[in-house]
Amino acid sequence: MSQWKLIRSSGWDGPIPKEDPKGRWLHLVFDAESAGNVLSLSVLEDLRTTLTRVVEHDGIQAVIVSSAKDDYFCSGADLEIIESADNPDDVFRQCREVQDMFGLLGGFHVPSFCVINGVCLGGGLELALGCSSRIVVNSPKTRLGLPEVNLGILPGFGGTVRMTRLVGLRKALSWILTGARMPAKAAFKQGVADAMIAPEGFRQSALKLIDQKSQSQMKAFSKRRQQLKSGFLNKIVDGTPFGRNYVSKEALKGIRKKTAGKLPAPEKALEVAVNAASGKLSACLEKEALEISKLVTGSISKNLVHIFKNSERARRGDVSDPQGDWSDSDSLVVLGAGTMGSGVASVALQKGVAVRLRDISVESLKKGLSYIGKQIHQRFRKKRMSREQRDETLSRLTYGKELHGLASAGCVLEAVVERMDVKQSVLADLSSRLPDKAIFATNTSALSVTLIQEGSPVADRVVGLHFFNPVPLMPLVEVIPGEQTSPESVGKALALARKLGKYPVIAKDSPGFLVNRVLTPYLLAASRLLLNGVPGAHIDEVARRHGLPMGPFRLMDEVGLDVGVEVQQTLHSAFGNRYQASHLLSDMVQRGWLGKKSGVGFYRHRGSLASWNNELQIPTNSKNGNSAKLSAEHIVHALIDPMVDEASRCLAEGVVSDAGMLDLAMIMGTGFPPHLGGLLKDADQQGLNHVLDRLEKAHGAGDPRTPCPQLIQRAENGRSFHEGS
Amino acid sequence: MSDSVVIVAGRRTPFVRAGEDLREVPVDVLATACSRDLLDVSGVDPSEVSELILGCCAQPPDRANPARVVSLRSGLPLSSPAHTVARNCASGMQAIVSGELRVARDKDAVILAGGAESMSRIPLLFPTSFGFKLASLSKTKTLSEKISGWLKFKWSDLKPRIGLLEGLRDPFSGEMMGDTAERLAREWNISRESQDQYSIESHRRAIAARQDLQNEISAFSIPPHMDQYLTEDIGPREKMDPAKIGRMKPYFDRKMGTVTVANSCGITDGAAMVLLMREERAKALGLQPLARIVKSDFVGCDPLRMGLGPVHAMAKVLANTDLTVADLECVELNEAFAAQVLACQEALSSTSYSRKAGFATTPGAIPEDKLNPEGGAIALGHPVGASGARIALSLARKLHSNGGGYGIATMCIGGGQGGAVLLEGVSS
Repeated sequence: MSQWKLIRSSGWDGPIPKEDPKGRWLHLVFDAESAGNVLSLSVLEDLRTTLTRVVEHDGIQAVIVSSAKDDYFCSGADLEIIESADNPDDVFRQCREVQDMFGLLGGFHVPSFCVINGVCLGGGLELALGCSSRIVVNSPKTRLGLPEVNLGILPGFGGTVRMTRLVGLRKALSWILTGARMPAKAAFKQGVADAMIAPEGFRQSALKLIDQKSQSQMKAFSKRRQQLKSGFLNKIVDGTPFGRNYVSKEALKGIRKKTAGKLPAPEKALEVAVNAASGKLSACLEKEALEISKLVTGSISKNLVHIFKNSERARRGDVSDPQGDWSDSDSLVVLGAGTMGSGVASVALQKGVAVRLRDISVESLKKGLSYIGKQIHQRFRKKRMSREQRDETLSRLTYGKELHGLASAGCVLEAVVERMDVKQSVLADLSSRLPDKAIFATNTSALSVTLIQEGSPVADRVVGLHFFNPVPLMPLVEVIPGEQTSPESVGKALALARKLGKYPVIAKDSPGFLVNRVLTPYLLAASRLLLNGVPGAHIDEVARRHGLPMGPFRLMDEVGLDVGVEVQQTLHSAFGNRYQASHLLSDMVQRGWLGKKSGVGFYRHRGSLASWNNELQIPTNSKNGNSAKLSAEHIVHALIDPMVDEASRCLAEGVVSDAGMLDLAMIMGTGFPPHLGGLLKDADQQGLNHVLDRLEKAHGAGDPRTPCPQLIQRAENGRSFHEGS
Repeated sequence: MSDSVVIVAGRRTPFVRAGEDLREVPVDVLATACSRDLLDVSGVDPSEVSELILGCCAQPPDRANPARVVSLRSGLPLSSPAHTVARNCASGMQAIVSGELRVARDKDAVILAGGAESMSRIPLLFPTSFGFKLASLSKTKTLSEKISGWLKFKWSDLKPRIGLLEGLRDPFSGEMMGDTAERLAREWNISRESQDQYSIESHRRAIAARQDLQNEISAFSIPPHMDQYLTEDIGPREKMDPAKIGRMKPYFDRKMGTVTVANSCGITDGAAMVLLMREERAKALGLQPLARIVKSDFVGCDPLRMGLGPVHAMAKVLANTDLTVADLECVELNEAFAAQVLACQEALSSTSYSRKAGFATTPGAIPEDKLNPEGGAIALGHPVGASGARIALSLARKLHSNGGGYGIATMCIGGGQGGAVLLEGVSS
C-alpha cells in the first residue's frame, strides 16, 4: 500500500476523495503509516513512484496535495534518517534527490495546491514549499515551522532555499533561524501561504478557491507575493547585495550572542539562505545539500536529536509512566506567594488554569500579585496577547489570606518556607478539606516527601513537585513520589506539569533529588579550584565558554549562598565525605555576603553589572602554587567529572529511570550545554576511562570524592552510559 | 417554610469613589473578581451554578450583556445562561429578586446574583444629530455632496452630554435626584443640621464596623498591574468636622438648599454578589445559609418624591407578612441622601401620610439603633447597580450573626419606585 494516494476526483468530500476518472482534480493524499504523517524513507520512496504516475492524467485542472490525517499535514522528517546518517556523500545525494522531487511538485503542467490543515513542520513544510501554492487552514492546530536548527541541522530538502526565494531574506531568516512554530495567520501574513481559509468545511472552501485561482493561472497569488515583497525597505534590504550583506551581518551577531559560536547549524543556515537570495536555483540547492550533509553527520546534530527524543518522552509521557489526567475544570490552589508560588501561579494562568493564591502575609501576597501582574501585562505589551486575553487571564486569578477555593481544586501546591514542621502543619490543616480528586503537591527542593506525607490521612495523594527558579524560564520539573504516594497521584502531577508546559522528570525521594544532588559537586569543585589559586572570574569565564549559561560562582550568587550552604549540608549529612566543603562559603554567609540578594557574594552586584568581589580573602593552598596556570580544558574537566560520578551513583540507586532522562534533567534544570548531548552522553563521548583516570588523580590531589564502583566497572568493561538505551 | 430560598453567602469588592483607584477597571472585571472569590469562599463548585444574574444600571457600550461576560470569565459552565437586569438604583436588588423567583420555581437551581457599577466609566455621549450627520456623510458620493455634508455640522452637534449626569436625572420632570431630595427636605421640614448630623453618624458607624465589614469584602488587586491591593472601602472618614461640613455649599439648590455633597451618597465603583438556592439544596451541598428570603416586592410612587419609595415598599412587604416594624431586628435603608432617609422616617410614623397612601396601618419609624447599624451609602458610597445587593448581603450577614430574627433591606429608586426584601436570619 502506497502511503501517497493519487486519486482523480470531481469533488473533495472527505480525507480520501471519491474516485472519478473524469474529474477535474488530481488529489495527492498523504496517508503515512505513522499517526503524525512522519516523512520516512519509505514515504519518500512511495512519493517518488506516485509522482511518475501524475503525467498519466490528462485534462485535469489542478493537483491538490493534502493529508488524510485530521491533526497533521506532516510532522517532519523521520529522526531515524538523521540518526543513521553517517556518510556525507550519501546524504548529499539523497538530499539532492528529495530537493528535486519536491521541486517536481511545482512543475506539473497544471498548478499544484498544497492544503495545510494541522501540524506542518520541517520536511513537511519543505514539501509544501515545493508546490506552486499553499493554502492554510486557520485552525488552532495548524502550526508551520522549520525547526531543523534546533536539531543541529538546516532545512535540507530545499526548504532553506525555497523559503528565502519565496518571502525574501529577512522574513525567511525569522523562520529558518528560530525554528519557531507559526500559526496559520502568521504564515499567511508573511506570504508563506498564499491563502487562508476557515476550518469549518475547509475542503469545500479550498476547492472553491482553487477553482478560481487555477483558471487565472495563479496570477492573483503571484501578484500577492509581489506585493508582499514590494515597499521601500523590502527592496533596499532584500533586493540589494548591500542590504543582504547587512542583514546577514546582523543575524550572525544575533546567532553568536545566543550560541557563543558553539552551534554551527544556524550559521550555516544563514550562509545558505544569503546565498539563495541571489544565486542560481540549482547551485543554491547544491550548497544547501552540501552543508546539511556535513552537519547531519557531525556529533552535535546527533546529540541534539538524542536530547530532543528524551524531551519528547518527558513531554508526551512514556507508556510505562503512571497514568493520571488533569481536567480543564481543575483549578490550582497555590499556598505561599513567594518567588516560587507566584512564579507557578503566573505560568498556570497563562496556560489557562484557574489559580487561587494564598499567603498568610498580606505583604508577601501583594508582592506575589504584583509579580504576576507584571509577567502577564508584559505579554500584552509585547503583543503576545490581546487586551481581552490579558483581562481574561488575570480574571482567572483569585487570592486572599484564608484557605479557600478547594471545591474546584485539582491540585493544592504548597510553596511555603522550607521547614518540615511548617510543611507538615500546612498539610494537616488541609487534609480534611482536600477534595477527592485533588493532589497535594509540595514544592520542596530538599525535604523528604516521604517524611512530609507520614501520618497524613491523604498520604497517598501527596507528591513532590520541584520547580526551578525562575519558574517561567526553567522548563524542568522534578516529580517526586513519596513511599506512600499512589501512581494515580504521580500521574496527575505529571499531567499538571505538562499542562504548565514543563518537562517533568520523575526522581526518587532521596536527598537533593536529582538535579541539586548532581549539580552540587560542580559547585564544590569550583570552590576547590578557587582555593587552589585559580582566579574565580577565570573559572566562570571558562565555564561560560564551555557553553554553560553562567559560571559556578555567578550561579551561587544567583541562588544565594545561604541556600547553597543549606543544600551542601543536607547532602553532606546524607552522603558523607564526598560532599565535604571548605569553610569558605559558610564564612561568607556569616559576613552577610549572600550573593545577589544582598548585593555582595563572590561578586559585587550593581544593578545588572557584577564585578569580582576583591574583599574576598582566599586562603590559598601554597603547595599547589602552580594551579593558577591550569588550562581551560583542565578546569572544565575538574568541574564536570565529579558530576559524572554523582550521576553514575544516581543511576545505580535508581534516582532517575535512565541516562537519557538524567541528561535531559541536567540540560533543562541547569542549562548544561545541549550540543554536548547531556552530561552522560558527553562523558560517553570522551570515554569513561579518561573520566575515571582524572577522577582518581583529583582524589590524589585532595578531592574527598572517590569514583563509585559502578563507574569503575562501566569504564573497565569499556561500556558507556547510553549503551542499549 | 422549610424549603425557602436562602442567601448562602455573599461577597463584595471594596467600594471606591468614582474617578479614583478603580477608574480603569471595567464593570465586568469588578463583578468577575467578586463572583470568583465568592465561589472560592463559599466552597461551591462553579459547575453547580445554574445561572448568573447581574444588575447593572449603566451598561458599558461594549458589553451588551455584561452578565454573560462575568459568567464565562468566572468559570461557570458554558451551558449556564446569564442575563443582566436594570431597575435603576435597585438593579442589584432586582437581580436578587429575579434569582429568588427562579429558585422558587426550580428547587435545584443555584443562582449567582448581584450588581456591579463602574460610575467612573460611564461614557460621554455625542448628540444623536452628530451620528445622523456622520451616517449621511458616509453615503455621499460626489465631492460637492461631501462638502455640503461637512458643512451641515454645527458646534452644537459636538457638545457632549455627560452620561453620568443624564443617568441621575429624572426623565419626566428633568430634575436631578438631588432636587427631589431637596423637595422632601422642604416638605418634611428637615433641617440642614439634622442632615449633617445623620451623615456624621453614618461615617462613625462605618468606621466602627470596619472589622465586621471585612466579612463581606473581598480584597481586590487592581488589574492589569496587580500592584495595588485594596481591602477596605475608600469612603468612610475617620474624622468629620461638624463645623467644616456645616460650611459646605448646597450642591443642587445653591441658594436655598440644604443637600450638600457631604450629606449625600458618594458616586462610587464596586460590585456585590450573593449565592441563592433552596435551603434543602444548601444542606445537600453542606453549606450554612445566612438568611431566608421571606418576602420581596417593588412598588411605584411619585417620581418627584422618589426618596419615599422605601416607605411604600416596606408597608407593602410588612402588610403581606403580618409583621410590624417592631418585629424587625435591623433595617438597611439605602442612604441616597440624608434628607431622604430622615423624610422616610417621618413618613413612616405619619398617620396622615399612611392614610393618604392607603396603608392599612401606620408602620412607625425605625428605631435609630436598628437603622443602618454599620453605616450606609453616605459613608460607603452608592455604586448604583451594586447597592441593592450590598444592603441585602449586609443585612443577611447581620441577621445570621444575630442568630436569627427579621430584617428588611429597602431602597428608593430613581423614577419613583421603592424596593424591599424581607429576610429572616438563619442561625448556625
